[in-house]
Amino acid sequence: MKYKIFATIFIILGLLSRQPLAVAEDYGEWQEAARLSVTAVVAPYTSVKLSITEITFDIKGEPGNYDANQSVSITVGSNQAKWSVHAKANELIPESDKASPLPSSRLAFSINDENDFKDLGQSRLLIEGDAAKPPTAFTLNFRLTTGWEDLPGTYRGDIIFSFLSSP
Amino acid sequence: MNIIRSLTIISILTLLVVPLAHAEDDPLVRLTVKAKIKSNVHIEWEKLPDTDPRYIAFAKNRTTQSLKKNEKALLLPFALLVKLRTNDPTKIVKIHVENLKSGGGKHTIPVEKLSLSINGKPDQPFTEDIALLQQQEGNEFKELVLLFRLNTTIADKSGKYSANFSFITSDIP
Repeated sequence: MKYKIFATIFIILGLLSRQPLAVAEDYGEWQEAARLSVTAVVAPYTSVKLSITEITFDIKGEPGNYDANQSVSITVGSNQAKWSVHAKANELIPESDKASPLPSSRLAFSINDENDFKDLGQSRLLIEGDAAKPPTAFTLNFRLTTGWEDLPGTYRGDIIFSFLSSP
Repeated sequence: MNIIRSLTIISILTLLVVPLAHAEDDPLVRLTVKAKIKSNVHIEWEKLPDTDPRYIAFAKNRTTQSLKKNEKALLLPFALLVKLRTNDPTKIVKIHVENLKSGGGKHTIPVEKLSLSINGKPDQPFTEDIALLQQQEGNEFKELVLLFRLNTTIADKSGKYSANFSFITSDIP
């Protein structure tokens, strides 16, 4: 009776110990049962930041070239392959009906304290870069040229920064 | 054949549609600009001697003014060349002259006896400040030669007289 019990246990253990070997033998023959598709969508990302939202010119003396009271720091970051930032000014509209607008070409800018001012009467290239370029801050200085024909008063306008990217 | 033609047309259309670069729809950043222009008047002057061609030209062509009895006209031997400009049509520029005083300050000739000719035009007495730049004259550069004439009588003591002059600006009253 004991022999029968031992024989039964032995057979069961033998079967159990044999199972992993069979699995190991069949491993190289696995076939694909299902496929999980993974899609990662990296959306175009662009960030253009200005340190301030308004600049002011105080023209207290005779007509000429006047620098803005504040310089502006611009920081651009993008994952686009190639990109560029352009700027163009709109004319400055007087609050008074008697005065004429100041043409946008009277506004000019320079980058990083260089003395080479370019007028904003047309769209101007400010900065260009690519996806590998880390966001870097540039300093923009603005200048307004006034004339005797400009009546006293307050004038308002804006400068539009547009972003261009190559797909 | 038709399929090839269709594919060719689609290819051409696709080339036309695909942009080389694109801009974001929204303006990314807008920087507001404010300019405050103050009223400004430029006044520049210099003294012209009686040998200066401009003094000679205007003294020669000057319109003479009739004199009262016992009065004698004396054209001062210098002129003032004044250059004016403003960006403010509401501004008026006048010349103000004080009474003429003798060297020691003992004698005075009232300023009303002094008259001014601007660019050879008829004399205006200094009964009040005389306007050099009137309102609404525009922003053009204005150059004026001022000649002074003093009407004296025998009652005026002889001596060396002097007077201070000043330019004053004011807004439209």
